Amino acid sequence: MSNQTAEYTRTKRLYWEPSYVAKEAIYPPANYEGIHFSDWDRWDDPFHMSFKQYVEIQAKKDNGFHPARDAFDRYGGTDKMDPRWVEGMKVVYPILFHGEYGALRSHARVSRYAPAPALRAAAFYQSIDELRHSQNHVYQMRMFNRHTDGFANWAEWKRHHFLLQPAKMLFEDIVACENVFESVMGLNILVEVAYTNLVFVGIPSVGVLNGDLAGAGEFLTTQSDETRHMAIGQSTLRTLLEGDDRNLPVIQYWLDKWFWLLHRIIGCPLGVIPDYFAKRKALPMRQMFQRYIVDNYVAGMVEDLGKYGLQPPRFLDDAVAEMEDAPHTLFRTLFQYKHMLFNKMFVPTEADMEFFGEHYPHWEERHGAFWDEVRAGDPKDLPSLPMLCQVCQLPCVFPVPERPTIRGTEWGGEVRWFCSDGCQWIFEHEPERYSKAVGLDRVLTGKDVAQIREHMHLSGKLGGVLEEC
Amino acid sequence: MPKTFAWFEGRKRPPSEYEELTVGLHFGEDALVHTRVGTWTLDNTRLANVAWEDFRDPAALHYRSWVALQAGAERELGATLDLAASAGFVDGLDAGWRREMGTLTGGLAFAEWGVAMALQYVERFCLSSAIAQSAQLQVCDELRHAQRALEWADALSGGASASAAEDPARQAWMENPALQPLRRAVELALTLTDWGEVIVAVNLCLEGLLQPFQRELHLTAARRERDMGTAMLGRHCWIDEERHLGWTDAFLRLVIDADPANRVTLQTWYDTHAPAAREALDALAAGFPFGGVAADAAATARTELAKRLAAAGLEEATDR
Amino acid sequence: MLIYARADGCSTPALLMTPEEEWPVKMFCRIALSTLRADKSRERLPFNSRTGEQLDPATPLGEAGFLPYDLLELRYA
Repeated sequence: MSNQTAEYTRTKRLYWEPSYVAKEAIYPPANYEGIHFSDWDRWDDPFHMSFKQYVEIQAKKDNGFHPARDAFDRYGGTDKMDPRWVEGMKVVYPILFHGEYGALRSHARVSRYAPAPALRAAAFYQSIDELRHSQNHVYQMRMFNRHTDGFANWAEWKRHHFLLQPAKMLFEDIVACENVFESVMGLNILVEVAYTNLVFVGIPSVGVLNGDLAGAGEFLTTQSDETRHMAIGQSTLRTLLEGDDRNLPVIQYWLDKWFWLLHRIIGCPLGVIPDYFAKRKALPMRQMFQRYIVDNYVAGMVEDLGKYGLQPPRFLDDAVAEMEDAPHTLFRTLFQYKHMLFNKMFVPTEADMEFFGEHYPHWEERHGAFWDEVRAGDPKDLPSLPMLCQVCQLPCVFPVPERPTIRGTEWGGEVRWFCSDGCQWIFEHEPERYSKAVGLDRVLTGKDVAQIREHMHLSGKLGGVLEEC
Repeated sequence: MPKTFAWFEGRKRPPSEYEELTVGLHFGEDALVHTRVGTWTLDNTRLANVAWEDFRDPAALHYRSWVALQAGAERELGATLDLAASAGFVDGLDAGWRREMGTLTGGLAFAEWGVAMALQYVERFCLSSAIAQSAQLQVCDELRHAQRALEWADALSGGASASAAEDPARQAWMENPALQPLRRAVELALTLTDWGEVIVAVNLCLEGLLQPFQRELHLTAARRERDMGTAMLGRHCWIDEERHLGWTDAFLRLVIDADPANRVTLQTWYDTHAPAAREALDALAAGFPFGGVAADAAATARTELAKRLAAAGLEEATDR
Repeated sequence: MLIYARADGCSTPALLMTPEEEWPVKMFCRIALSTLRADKSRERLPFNSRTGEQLDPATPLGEAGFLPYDLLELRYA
């Protein structure tokens, strides 16, 4: 037996069947309800990680990343970043932190209660990886904060600002999963297998074009850990589908639900980064979405797991259709709220519009008139928050604000609104879970702009328009 | 003062790197979803009126500093244990010592992992980012100890067996009479649902006795037997455990300073769980006497815990 | 009352408003169009989005069958 395997085997030896308390008191069955599997010991962690190996590998990674980050900061790297990119990172980093912090907390529970030794071990290492990621994002924000406004109160904004409520909701939802396997589905499969390549590989490639070398380094070192997380997600999914036919309906539901939530809350907003905040552009978001999500993730999943009856995500066609407009719709909605943001917005330039014309054939027809009015002098500022979707907490503006898909359901004596068929479908499957939220638009009814800014902890000069772009 | 995050402004001294990376980052008590498990609520512990983000771990480690520390520590410990196992040192140890220390070390590996599992509950449910990190780093350290303990137990006893049924470490944990009170205490701790109570039951009551006991046993008895492997393992574990006891003491001070009623809650929890911890210690000392070293180690452990209780303003439990 | 309003063809998202129950639908529509900064050159008709029912402009809002947080849509005629 190899040294690495011997060390891994030691971890598997550490579990025992309790006899002084009922097993259910230590491993409550409610944590796996609806999932059927019998031979958990047979399922193996592909990485066979031991503690010794873990700290050795991770220390080496940190020794490569942190000195480069320090040097970037020390020698004026942030001064060379494009200002538009910096404004975009003010939104991206708090959202990423929501994800990493939620993940580390969530997977403490997954590790604690997972019935399979392989999943316990892998979730254990994932949880500590997520601490690394969350703190690396904070390192970045600390660096940015010394050079620009719009990062100083990020922890408060991630709790209270309307822009960050969707990410707050998403990662609270992952943390709050009763079934540990649903946490794995939501985080390991949909966040990590589906989206982290787009986030941590696709986006930094654009960042480098805009001077963000430290961010690129950070995202890539994060992604090196994600490989392990993805593997355990895929291994979990395959094992559950292979192990018992009865798992298919619940797995399918989770796939359909979390695919839509990730598309809406991560995919749609992320599009403003490569399409707008990146002055120097590479691939448009709709192509990145096609490559990473449709061609890599969905096609790969169907090829790998279709034989067990798993279907492509229910709202895949809706998601694909939306990517024609989602980045543009969201960017101009944010522009209308620039007086309530912690980052600055800007008017697209001729170069931007040329890019849109090349990659989004309907851009002029659907979004052009809005920017013509802005250039003609209309600031477009709105007096109150928009209608927010009961589930995802994003504005109900998709696909375009002039003709939004708004769905309504009567619940608890009042009407709940949804931005899409997908969000309404999720609500109607789990109304108790998703009826709790009171959108900030309702919380702040009747408040004026100053009061709204105060509630969201926005001081002084935050928000507004970036003059040089 | 260099520009820092808004929640540190107004302080006299700038925040440390540990504070900037760790403190003030929690969210989710006013969660936007509802499930039976939930995210975090203030009433998931009886401890009340505490400004949880005021917690500071005296060790002030964060991921980067912790992983660098432990990578270095693992190289040192690994080199020693590898040398001891491969160069004939183990073969030269007294057979009785090898058998007894191998059995104890193997059995205690399971206790380490049980402690880790209990602290995973704290890591998940506690109400601040800083407490979560202290719990999380302890969870990782305990895995370290558990893996090294099994490795060293295998070396002392001549190697692990292929099947769980014949695994001497597992047999010790499940059947050796000297380890049963400890196993019972660990299993009971794993059923607790108040994360504050877990900290008291595990870190104050159980670890507060077991870790000084193991420190004394490993260092004193191992030196006497010239067992450098056991001595080095004991030293490394103690360095980590000192940090764990340190953050526990900081936690107790925080909650007591916040509200005197919390002292009553802590005392109640201590009174509930201390008897099982004492019974576990006494059984270990009786079952693995090591020529009287264990009795002295147990006495030292009780003295050290008594001092920590006094410092926290808690009283030693009388047997009830 | 708490009612959302939106208008076809308008780039403003649906906004939550707090009209008085005694306001006629027509009056609320006029205020909503201004708040939404909608182009008034095309005629729009009021609908209860949830029920699909076209609303009588003279009816007071309190008698128009709205639930809390209902959506009044100003659709192109």
